[in-house]
Amino acid sequence: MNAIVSPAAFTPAPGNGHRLLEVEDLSIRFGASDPVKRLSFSIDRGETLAVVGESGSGKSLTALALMRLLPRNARIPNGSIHFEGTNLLDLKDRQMRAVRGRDIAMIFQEPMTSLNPVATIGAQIVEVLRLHEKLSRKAARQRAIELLDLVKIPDPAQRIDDYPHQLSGGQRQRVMIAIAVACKPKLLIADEPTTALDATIQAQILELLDELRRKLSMGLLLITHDLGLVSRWSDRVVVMYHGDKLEELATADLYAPDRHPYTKGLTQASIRLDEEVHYTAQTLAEVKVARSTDGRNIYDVKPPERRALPIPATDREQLLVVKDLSVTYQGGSKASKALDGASLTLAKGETLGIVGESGSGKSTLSKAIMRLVNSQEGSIVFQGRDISRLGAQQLQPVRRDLQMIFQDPFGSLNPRKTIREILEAPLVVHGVSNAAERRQRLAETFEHVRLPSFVADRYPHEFSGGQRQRIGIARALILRPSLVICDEPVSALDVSIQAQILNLLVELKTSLGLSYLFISHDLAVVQYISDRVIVMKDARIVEESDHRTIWRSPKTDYTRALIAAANDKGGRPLAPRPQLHAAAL
Amino acid sequence: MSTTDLNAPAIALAGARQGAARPEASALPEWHNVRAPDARTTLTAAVTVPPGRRELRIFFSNPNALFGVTFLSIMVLMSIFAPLISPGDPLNMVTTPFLWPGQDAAYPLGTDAMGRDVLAGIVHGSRISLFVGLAATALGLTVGVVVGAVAGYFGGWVDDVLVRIIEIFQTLPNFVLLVVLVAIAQPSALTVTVAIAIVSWPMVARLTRAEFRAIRAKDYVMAARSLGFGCARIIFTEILPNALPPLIVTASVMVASAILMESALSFMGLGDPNVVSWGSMIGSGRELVRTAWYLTALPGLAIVFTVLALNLIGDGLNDALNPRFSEERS
Repeated sequence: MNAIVSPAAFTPAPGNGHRLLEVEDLSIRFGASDPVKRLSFSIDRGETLAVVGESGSGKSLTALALMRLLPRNARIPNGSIHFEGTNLLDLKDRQMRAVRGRDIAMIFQEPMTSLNPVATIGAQIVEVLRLHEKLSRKAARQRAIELLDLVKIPDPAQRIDDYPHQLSGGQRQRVMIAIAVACKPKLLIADEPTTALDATIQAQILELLDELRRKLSMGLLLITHDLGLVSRWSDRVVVMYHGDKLEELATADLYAPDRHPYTKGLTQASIRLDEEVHYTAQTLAEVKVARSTDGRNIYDVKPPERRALPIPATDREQLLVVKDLSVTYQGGSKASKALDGASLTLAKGETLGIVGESGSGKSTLSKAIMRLVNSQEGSIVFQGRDISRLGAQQLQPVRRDLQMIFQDPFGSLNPRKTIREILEAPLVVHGVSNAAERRQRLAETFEHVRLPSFVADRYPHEFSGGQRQRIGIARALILRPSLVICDEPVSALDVSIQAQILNLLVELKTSLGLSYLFISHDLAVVQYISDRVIVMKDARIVEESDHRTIWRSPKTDYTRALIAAANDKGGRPLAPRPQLHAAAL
Repeated sequence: MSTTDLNAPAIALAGARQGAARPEASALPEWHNVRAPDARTTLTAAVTVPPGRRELRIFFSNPNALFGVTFLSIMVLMSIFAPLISPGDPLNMVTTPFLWPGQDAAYPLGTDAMGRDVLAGIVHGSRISLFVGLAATALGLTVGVVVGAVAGYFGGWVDDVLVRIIEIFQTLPNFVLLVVLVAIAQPSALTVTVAIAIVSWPMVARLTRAEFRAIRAKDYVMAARSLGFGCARIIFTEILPNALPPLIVTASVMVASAILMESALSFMGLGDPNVVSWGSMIGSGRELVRTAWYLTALPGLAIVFTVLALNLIGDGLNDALNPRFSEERS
């Protein structure tokens, strides 16, 4: 076997030029509905095609269809998938198995679960190699080490015997990539490869994928909802909505003015750090998709509106003062400090943003303030009263004023209860015994979060992510709190819904006089909604500043690195990307 | 692959079935901007079904569950009206022994070695079998769920202590413990019931504890705590309904196994000697299995069908109580 990094391995297929994959008229059918309708696109060798769409757009199903890994109850009523001239849909299962992993490989979103936890990473790479190529155990191991080196795992000869749990999330994703490229596939499908990773690692992983694309002259199908990634790392873009391909365009044209309204809406709704938009100055653009009477979708963009809200004064009455708060988790014999001496203040009507990567302690901070985890040291003075040592009984009246919005709109609502039960239970617990009054409050809250009140008797699974998040917000607001802690409230949502929820949160803040503690790993979101920002790292608060200063003149290197990563991934492409064709052909 | 993408078609399907309500979709177009596929369902499924009715409808549209319910209700009716169906003590010798089924129209299922009516035995035997099965399950389930819920929800030392107690019971072989318990106490329907409950609760407790530990970490439980819900409310209204599916299936299996345990005890002669049960009928017929096999086969069939009916009901209930059922099946 020659070295993995050899452009010589690339020989154009006869006849069809350098067309690698040609999908024509592909539909996928489940029962009576088609989640993918008459989709056509193509990928050339060494090219990166991005498929962009929100959840439910059919982009992941398309990827599975290319691998012929669709769920059993799915059918492909029409269309063809030509890979190097062969229609994959005509292949027998046995032949298809040979294609998977060798010619077409796939990496998944979740690096924590896509590796087998009981086998070493080396064994998992060797397994794939020996499945597709006749290699001795020793040679395969040697190749595995080369591959780990290729994906830039430090010290590959030692790390090869590590188990997945010994690696970080980013490293696991690198191992997944190593497995995917082990047999030098001609096409690599990356389904949301960096969604589960921190921003600083996201950029590294995409850089690696791009480098491998050039070295191995692979076609890369990048499936994502993140327009920032697309604009930086792809050559062409296919935009999908609900199974329809809306348009196909060169990445450079993504921000051009004459785009499809939906594409325009997506580009406007996704906020970027370098644009420095703030909620006091303007609302966010919202994508509107309505269904006309003849069954077609009508796409519309609600452009941002200018406004001039005052920035709340920080020297007003302090609502929340946290001093030297520490939380230690006792895990078996060893204790780990999840929060180390955090201090912050929050004035009435203010929004305090907290940014940090996963494991920085920002969620622990919010749970400690909510008294969902107990703090060992420090004090939490809320409305002039230290609540850090109160018992459950004494906490009860405090909880009414202190509410929380959760990240996962799918996990934060009890699936066995109707929306009415979910929203009325807090009222019952807090002594609103009059049924008429409860109904009144429910109707009011529905109005606040812009949900029609006839949905009250449905179960959570009947709602989409954005609607569920509105229900989650309604649950937090129904007790009319003064402080709402938002723990990554928009991270699990699509771009367009993210904009709607952020607009809603700002409106609610001004109309109901709320204060927010807004936690997110997404710097652009925090920049938009916060009056002041706190940066956390390794269980400590490392920097605090007002919303302008922190982005323009950060004091610590860590904050600078975070900002750089956020700018790196997003933004318009600055220079043309290095192309394979010029070099190899 | 995100799960939402996979679910999308299923959701759309559910929407398609509710086609009748579709016109509302165009009446409120602004709803469509909130993510396409399931937004559509939300609109189309606008007909509100009163809570409780939906579960019943799903349950009774399941042919297996319907069979189970029908068979079990026949059994229950039979046990209630046993004195009317076959008056007199089923242990009385009524006619010549070893009458085969169908030989004498007055005794359609024949008679045993002592000349006792087999039909009367099965009819009266259903009383003890069903009583012991249902009562033992109710008792075992209550104790098991409470212990498991407390252990799983609170964790820490409470969990440690309760798990040790559960383990003490689980290290003893079930049936041996049962035999010992019944042998110590006077064998009667009540003691047999209590003994069966004692040997069967630890399994329920373990299962409940595992479910509670998993669900306790969910966001909606966190949300309930942040809203100031009390422990009892969280345990019984937030967690328990979500832990129910495996518990319901287990309960139906428990009834079945309680009936079997009771039969096994009676078979060994440890049942209440003054009442007839399916187990004791099999026990007394076993020596004659080569010459008069119907003496063991008929009460055996009664047990088989009752247990089967209970299992079918359990499956049906599990589906019906799951609000997402209609999506998952498609």
